[in-house]
Amino acid sequence: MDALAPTPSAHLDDADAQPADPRPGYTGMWVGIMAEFAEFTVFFVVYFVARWNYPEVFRDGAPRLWTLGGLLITCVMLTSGYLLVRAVLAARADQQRAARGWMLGALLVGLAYPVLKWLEIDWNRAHGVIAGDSAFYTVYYYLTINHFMHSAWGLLGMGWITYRVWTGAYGPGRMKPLESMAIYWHATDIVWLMLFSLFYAFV
Amino acid sequence: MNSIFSRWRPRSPTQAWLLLLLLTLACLSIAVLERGVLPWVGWLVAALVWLKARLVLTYYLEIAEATPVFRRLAWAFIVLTPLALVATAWLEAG
Repeated sequence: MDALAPTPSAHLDDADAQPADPRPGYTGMWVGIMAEFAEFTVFFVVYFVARWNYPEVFRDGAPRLWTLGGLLITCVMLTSGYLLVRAVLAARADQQRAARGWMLGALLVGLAYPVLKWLEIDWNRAHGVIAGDSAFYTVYYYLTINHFMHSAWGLLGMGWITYRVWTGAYGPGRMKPLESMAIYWHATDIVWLMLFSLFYAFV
Repeated sequence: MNSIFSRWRPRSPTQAWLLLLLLTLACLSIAVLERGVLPWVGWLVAALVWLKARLVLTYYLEIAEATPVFRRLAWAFIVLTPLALVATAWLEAG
């Protein structure tokens, strides 16, 4: 009878096997991305108020932007996000080698964003898209640079998480940091989809 | 109607990613070809951005697994900009 009674260590093993919170990522990260959504909601209000006041300026300004650059940044965000999804799925299945490959891919593709941003600013300078010259350019720079800053933090986090994935830190039951990183990047991805529609697609 | 949506729903993150790239190209092509000419272009861009954000929420962010309050806030966030785009296209057309 005593042999069937759970020992303290067996109880702890059971607790480790069943994570306390089965939801993806840390609650703190979800609060963080909701704050990011709230922040960009305010920025979008600024965009629409400016647009409703200066519709002609916005119509004239949008075609002067580097449309191909906007398209490429969108593809980079969507693709690095997809590779992150695959990294999370591989780590959950304890496929460590696959997780390392997907994660490294996500980081490398994500790093194309700063390169494209630098090329875009270079292109803008050459084509007279200067912050402060019009309401459209001011709003465009303010929102897109803000998004770039959020993405830069995401890339720094992705660099750290890539290192941790390569050390085999994540697997079934120990996914929270990797999931949180992915959640942050996907939220930044959604914000970019909105910005893309406002500046490059909606004229 | 529901069966049409479920039939065309991506079956995997890979399909969702390919669909997202396709919708991005479609969105930009429509916008560049019809630049500022027709008001429904704005409505179409709004619908496409909502659809893309919905795909990212569902297949990338795994929003169905999130706490209800975060789930509702995320769904609300992706509706706001498309609605404002629809209103703007309507106002600027009139």
